[in-house]
Amino acid sequence: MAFKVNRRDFLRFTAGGAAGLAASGVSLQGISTLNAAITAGERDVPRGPEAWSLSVCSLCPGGCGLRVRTIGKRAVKIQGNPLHPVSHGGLCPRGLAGLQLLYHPDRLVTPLENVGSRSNPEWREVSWEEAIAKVVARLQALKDHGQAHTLVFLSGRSGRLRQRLLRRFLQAYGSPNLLHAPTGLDSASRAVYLQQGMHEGLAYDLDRTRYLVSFGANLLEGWGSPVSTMRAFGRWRAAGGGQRAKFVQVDPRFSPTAARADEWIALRPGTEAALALGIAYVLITEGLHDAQFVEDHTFGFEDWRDGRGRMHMGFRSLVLREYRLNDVAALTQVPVETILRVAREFGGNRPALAIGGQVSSTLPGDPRAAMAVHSLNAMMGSLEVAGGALMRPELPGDSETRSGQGPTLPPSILQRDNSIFPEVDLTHLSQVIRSKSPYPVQALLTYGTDPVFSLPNGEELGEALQQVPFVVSFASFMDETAARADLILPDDSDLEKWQEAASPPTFPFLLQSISPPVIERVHNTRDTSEVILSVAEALGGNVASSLPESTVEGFLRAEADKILAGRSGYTFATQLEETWNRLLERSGWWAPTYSTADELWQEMKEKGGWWEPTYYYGEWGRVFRTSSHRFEFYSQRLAEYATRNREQVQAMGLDPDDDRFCLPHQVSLPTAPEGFPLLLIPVEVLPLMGGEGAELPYLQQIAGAHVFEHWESWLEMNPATAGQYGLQDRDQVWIESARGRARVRLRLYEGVRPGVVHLPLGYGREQGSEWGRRGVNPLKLIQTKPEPLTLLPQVSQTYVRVYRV
Amino acid sequence: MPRWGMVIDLAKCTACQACVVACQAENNVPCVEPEQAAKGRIISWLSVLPDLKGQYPNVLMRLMPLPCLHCDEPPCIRVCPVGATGITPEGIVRQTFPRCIGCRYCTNACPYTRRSFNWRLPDFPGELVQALNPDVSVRPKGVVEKCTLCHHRLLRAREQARAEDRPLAVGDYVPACVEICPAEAMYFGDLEDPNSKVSELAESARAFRYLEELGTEPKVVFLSEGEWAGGEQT
Amino acid sequence: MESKPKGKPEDLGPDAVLLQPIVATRSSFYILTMVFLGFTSLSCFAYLYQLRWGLGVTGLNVPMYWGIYITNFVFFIGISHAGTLISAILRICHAEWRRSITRAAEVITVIVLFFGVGSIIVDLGRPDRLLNVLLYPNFRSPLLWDVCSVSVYLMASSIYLYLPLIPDIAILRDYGGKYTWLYRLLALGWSGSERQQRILNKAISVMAVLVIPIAVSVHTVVSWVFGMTVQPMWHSTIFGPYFVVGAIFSGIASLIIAMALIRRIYFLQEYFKDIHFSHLGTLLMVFALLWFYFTFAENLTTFYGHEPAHLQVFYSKLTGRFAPLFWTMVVTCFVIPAGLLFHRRIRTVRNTVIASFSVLIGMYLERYTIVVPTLSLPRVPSDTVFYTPTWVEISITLGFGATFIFLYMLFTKFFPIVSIWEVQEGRKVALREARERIEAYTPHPTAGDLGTLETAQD
Repeated sequence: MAFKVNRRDFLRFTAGGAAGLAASGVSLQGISTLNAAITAGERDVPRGPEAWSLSVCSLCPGGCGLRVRTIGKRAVKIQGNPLHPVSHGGLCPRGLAGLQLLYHPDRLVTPLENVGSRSNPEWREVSWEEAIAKVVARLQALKDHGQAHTLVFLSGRSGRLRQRLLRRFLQAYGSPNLLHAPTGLDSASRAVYLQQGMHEGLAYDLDRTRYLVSFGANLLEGWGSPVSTMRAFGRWRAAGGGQRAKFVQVDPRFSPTAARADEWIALRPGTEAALALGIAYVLITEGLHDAQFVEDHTFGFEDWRDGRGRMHMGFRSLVLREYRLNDVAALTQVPVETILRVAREFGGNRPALAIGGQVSSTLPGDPRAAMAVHSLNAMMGSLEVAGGALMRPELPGDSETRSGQGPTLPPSILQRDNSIFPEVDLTHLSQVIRSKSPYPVQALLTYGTDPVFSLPNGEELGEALQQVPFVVSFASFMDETAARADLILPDDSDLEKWQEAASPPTFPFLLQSISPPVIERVHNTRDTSEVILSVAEALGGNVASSLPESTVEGFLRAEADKILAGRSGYTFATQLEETWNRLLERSGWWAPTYSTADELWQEMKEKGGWWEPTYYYGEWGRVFRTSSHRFEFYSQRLAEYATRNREQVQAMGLDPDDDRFCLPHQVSLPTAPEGFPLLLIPVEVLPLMGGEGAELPYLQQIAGAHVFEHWESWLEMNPATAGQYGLQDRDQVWIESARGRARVRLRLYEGVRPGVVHLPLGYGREQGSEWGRRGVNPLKLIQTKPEPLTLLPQVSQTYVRVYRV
Repeated sequence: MPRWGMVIDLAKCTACQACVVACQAENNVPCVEPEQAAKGRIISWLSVLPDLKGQYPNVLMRLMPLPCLHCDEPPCIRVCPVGATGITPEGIVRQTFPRCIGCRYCTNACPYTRRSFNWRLPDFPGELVQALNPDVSVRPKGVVEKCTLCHHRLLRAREQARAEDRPLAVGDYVPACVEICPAEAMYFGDLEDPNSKVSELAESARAFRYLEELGTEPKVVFLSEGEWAGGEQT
Repeated sequence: MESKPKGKPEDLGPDAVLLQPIVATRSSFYILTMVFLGFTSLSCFAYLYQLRWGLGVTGLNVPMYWGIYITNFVFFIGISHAGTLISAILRICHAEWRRSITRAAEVITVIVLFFGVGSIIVDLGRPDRLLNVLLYPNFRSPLLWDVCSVSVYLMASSIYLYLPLIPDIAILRDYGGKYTWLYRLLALGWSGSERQQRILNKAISVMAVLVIPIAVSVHTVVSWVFGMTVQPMWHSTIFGPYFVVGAIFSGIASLIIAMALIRRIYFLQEYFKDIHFSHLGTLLMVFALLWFYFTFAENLTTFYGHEPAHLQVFYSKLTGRFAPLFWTMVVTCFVIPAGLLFHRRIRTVRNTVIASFSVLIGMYLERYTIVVPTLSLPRVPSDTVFYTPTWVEISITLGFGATFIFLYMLFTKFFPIVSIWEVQEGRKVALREARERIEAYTPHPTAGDLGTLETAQD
């Protein structure tokens, strides 16, 4: 070996090494800076004077009252407004995460114009004046060409008064197309429309119910107004608060809601209607139902003879004939004893309430099941009683906006001839845009919703948007819809603008929250309502005159003044005051703390809003708008439809002469196609309720707590199923449907029904904040089928296969 | 001298985790990057832990919000070599961040794993730093942190009461998690005071102390889920 | 002790070979040094990186707050028992075969202790606050007990290394090679007078007696760091003796390896004879059995007690995630050494060394399977998180190992690795002493044929 090292070489080498190390910063001086390196980047917390102000949360439709702590110009903590009737000082994790939304590093901070193409956007910052001028120019051009009706405004959640503003703007402008994102409660609302003739206002008096059966409603994970529901849950179980209410969760999956229920009934997916009717069978055969109520306030329970002398099957006959316990047990795979016991308990504990399911707060469930479930309420007389199903009244001014004012408008783009319902839901928009029927969409504005991401057929809509010449988004983040827009006019965050909210879904009382901005704008954003007012002003003419107020505050104030005209209700108050007010109001007295509009406005701002704490039961005329003026087990609206549209009904694969068509019944179940053995049911998790919030670290960290998952999608599977396919916990797997496949991490969870897999909703964004672009969007795998009757998308019928990567 | 304690009613808890986020926001607990989270580095003073038993469809799951239990006999404070953690006269198990040497012996000694370590420098990217609570220091990297029962709120409440020349009243001092609970499943107060709600509940039939057999004497008491009493209505 | 050694190689006779490593350095030394220092700088870089970015650069996580740094700590402290304890016991027992091996063992102890302590410092989140241990000590903390006992041990074993080194340093001083000033300083004016010799022998015996309880206490205290917590499978009374046995076990193994290397590199076959290896091999065998006994007792108790929290850790080791490591440990700590050492015929030097390597690996795994599984399975529900050491931890660990070997090597370049004076003394007095000893306990020593011993002296 020629390689020889002697002492001198060695010393030279080590000296060189030492020099090298020194050069790389490990000299004596380097060591002295080492300490600095250890403590580098530590932060001090900024300080300033402290203040508290009220606001309203709009991270979901729940409408909770906020109390915000500010230090100088910064908002540092969100807490609950203890006076707020919806939340009573409580909040859900989403509301608390509002601060991260406000100070999110990826917020859109200034108006952006797309100077590239739709498929390959390039964003240029523009001034607000420039941006508004562009919108005005486009809208003016449309209006001048008589195309005003081709403007479509997609609106997600926003308060009642802002909706009024939008509606008034569109009406004056000449467009009937104020379209709303679908909600999970749509299936229940459609059922109520068929059975009670009412579109909106379905509410439940959860606080006072004594027995609750939820047919797949994810009560504690994003149903209705989450905080108000959780509060009711707490009250059912209040220590020393009288007898505990029982909560039964019917769900194929052992969801966190099911885990918190008193009893969980695992049933075969899609058989909720059968189970509800099985319970009805027990109620009827054992005489547990409220015969008096059925007699007085319902129609179609018994067999009946129509005007032409034809006999029709009633609800009782249908149930007795077709939903015998053994059959129901076989279909639902729920033991007979369980059905029997739950039905007896349901019949023996009043007020008992049954609630229909939803897939998520934006994805409806099965409307037929919802009819069956709501029928249970009618059987038990749980309509219009304390602890039952109620219909929330309207606020003065609500009806004004619905009946068309101003010029007569063409029909809405989602209106269908010969439809049972006035409008189909938003999932049909992409088809409308593509087919340009009934007319093309020339301009589309979206606010507070990201339909390309959250609609079950969002991808289709994303493609269809290419054909819309002008798309504007008011998004705060670069979302899937905004990324396909020509112009983005970022909205203020909740705490930066005037906040207002109506009664949240399923909340029985009339309510209007109002709060001024909590802090100054952090970025160059603008309140969308303010932008609309500016646009209206610039458009001039009748549009400008329909919205004379120059500021959002002015508009809200003018609308709030109408409350005084209703001569009822109170501003938010402590529980003690509320009890007193209720007592007075029941006895016909109304003694508000305000007497003028100014006082009302001032008090609303100070306390957070106004509400009507009394519900007037038994206003049958108001709540039953059916032709029989009763609750209809046998929907005459459906009967009428079937008579008039025999072909359509037959096209649905249904028999128009069959009485079942008008009665709640179990529809047949889809079967697994060859090669796709597993049923995929998407699930909602509270932190990402409504598919939103994935960009917020607070929420990502807690979203999968029941399986210790965070920041990623997970595929839930039963260990037995996994064993069958040779899969193991934490495997990276492909989940493949006929539509495509996605890579995701498998988590075994004993709460999953064998043969079923679940993916959480809200993950898998492709646009916007890096924090939100994680995981898999289950909607991209799902094949939606519109339910024949209501045309609502049904997303729980997709079969998949799962295999290891 | 009060002995601060908490009661968590598992019957009322909806496992919504509002308490978790409230705690994070109140105490400037940083959210870690997804990559770090995937490595199991989430810092959480209070988390909702699932305990799943059984097989489908006979499954039971307890979802338990678990803060530091502020044991009267805390296994963690004994082992700290530098006395960076201790128990205040009012029973709050404290952590002195500037003294901690980061040996993580306390994290390992705590049978409830309720102590967190700052694996990296806490990061509040962009404007998020604006949302920091000025009452609570941001911890440096390399130290252990834990639930303080929102001790800063106690200090504020004391100050307030002193300014108003009155004793500390019930409800003046409530930790952020208890305050926010939408189902009102958490109670907070003085366990020493026999008339307080917490002492009443802590003695109730449903009360249990988590891992009681370890003799840690927790001051956070749980109420078990209980069962529906049932029965026909007359 | 009639003549003072002059220090010249020719005066030392055949023992002059012991000074050879100090006098002459071969190029292989430099090459090895470069290799080892390469690892050292790698670990320095890794540590600086860790200082800058925090412990997040390791694979540690929640709830696995401790990983291979703590494993290293326990392991290194364990190895340190090589020296002192073995050499002390052998000295006290007057085992004559100890004379040439004590030094090699004692050096291991002193040097490796620094790495044990270093492992703890590396594991700290805030090493800059290390002084808090002295400023705000909490004497209820087993970790502080550790600080105390390890520093006492370090001191005691350094003295215990140094004392027998003095006469040899004097030899080097008189030899007059390089660094004479250093040797003069360290020799403390040793002249080899009878009085000095007496004092030295006295001091060595005192230290030998002192060092044993200290060594036992050190590893007991190390075990108490775990044993004092209530964590499943840490909270065990057996841990004290279990750790001490394990420590001596790994200590013997490392001593055997060190001797084998020294004898090969410095051609010291005359000093490290096969019989040394055979004796140490027997000792290793005994400790393998002891170790197995403790491991068996520990696990059987856990299994039999059937406490759920303990049981899940137990099963994670025996059948779960840690089973490969656990069973490798059983094989390397017990099956291999027992198989290679049980009979005199196969207890060759080669096999003894193989067994020693196997034991070192096994004992490292043992430390690992004590530290990590318990942490991965706390009593409260927790996520299944996997701990894999990152390059930072591995670099620092390798660097520690390499630097230890380098420092050991360096020691042999400055001081004789075999105690020259003890070997010389052995030649002169051992037989007489042995004879006296044997006579002291033999009944009627004059009746028999004890004289044969004397013939063997020729």
